[in-house]
Amino acid sequence: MTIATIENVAVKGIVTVVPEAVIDNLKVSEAEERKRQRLVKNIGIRFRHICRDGMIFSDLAQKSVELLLEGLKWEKDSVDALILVTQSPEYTIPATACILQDRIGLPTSTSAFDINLGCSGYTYGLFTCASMIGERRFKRVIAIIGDQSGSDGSADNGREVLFGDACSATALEFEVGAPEMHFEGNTDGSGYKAIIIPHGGRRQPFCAESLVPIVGDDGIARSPLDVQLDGPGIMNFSTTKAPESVKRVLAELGKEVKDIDHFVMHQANKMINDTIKFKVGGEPEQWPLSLENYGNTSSTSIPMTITGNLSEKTSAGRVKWLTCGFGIGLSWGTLYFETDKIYCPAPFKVK
Amino acid sequence: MDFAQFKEEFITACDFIDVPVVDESTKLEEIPDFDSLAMLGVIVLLETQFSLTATGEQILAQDTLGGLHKFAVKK
Repeated sequence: MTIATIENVAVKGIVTVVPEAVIDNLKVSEAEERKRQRLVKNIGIRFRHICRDGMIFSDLAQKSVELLLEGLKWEKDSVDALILVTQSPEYTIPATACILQDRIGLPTSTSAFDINLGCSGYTYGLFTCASMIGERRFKRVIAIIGDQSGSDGSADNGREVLFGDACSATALEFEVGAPEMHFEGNTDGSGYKAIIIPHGGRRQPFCAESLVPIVGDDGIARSPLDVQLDGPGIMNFSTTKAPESVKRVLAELGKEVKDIDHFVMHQANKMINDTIKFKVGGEPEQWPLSLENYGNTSSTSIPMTITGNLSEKTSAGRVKWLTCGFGIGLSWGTLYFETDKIYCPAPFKVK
Repeated sequence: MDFAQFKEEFITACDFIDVPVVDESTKLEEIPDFDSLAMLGVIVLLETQFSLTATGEQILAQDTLGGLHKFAVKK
């Protein structure tokens, strides 16, 4: 197993954006109240921001880049590449990154492409973008990473309370002597059915049956165009693979738990995140959670936690991060990086 | 961990709204409110207290709470 090292690349800014519309998971009928309170307590998710009134993911993506460029005072023609990690493209084809290049007003000299990953996407996205930067490579790259995975009124109770919509934009720049980044990526495609939308791709193209709800073992009706989640399977995967990977990267770097300022995990749900923390160790303040206010925001959940919980600290000083994203694929990646007084405002709410 | 202590841990892990009366012979699938959330709680319990990674199917295959206790402590 190789743990890759990136030199001379600095993270310069992180911006996150959520829709203004918010759902309170505890706002249910009196008859459902006790059940819902139990669910919210265990998954740790109270509020979820949701795209409404025609807003879609690429609107959040555009806004996140515009706010990032404005905050950093980067000229648009200084950006060499715009990479989008999402599973919520505007169209199946073309790549949404291409559409965004034009809408944001970046020059046609900008490289732009999409990467299809979910919960592991932040670590993979930053590593991919950082790999493109160097002395004789690009100098400035923006990683847009996020998803529109929230649901609003779905009959699927397990999923309905879990996900929120959000997007992040992270600026990376060539900087001689910047602290090294380290990345380990892993994949187990044998578990691809653990999180899946069965219809709509080339294997099972959209057809009349795609719209027909089927009642599962849990009594919930889902159509083949809905996300199907194997809860226990994902729980086993996450609480096994994430801590193993985090410990492996720590060992490779010769660091101990106390050497890391913050372990920022993908925010899956409180049960999963607490179990990972239990297995790795450390103090509670090293393991921030942003679940309560934003829910599981897929690949945005790591930068959402950084901006939502640690904006002031990240803006004011140097921080050593160990991040791990894990989920759909099955895919998981662990990324170590450092930041030093970067542009890191609290999450923006957009209409 | 003896059964009495395991039973307490199990009930805490499941976070039942109304705590059921259970003993070693209680069938898991017959426990009221032993739902998907309770199952996740049991998976976490086995993982954190017994270093045991178990699937939902493996847990249900133990049939009774007593069976689950034996499964957990046999390591």
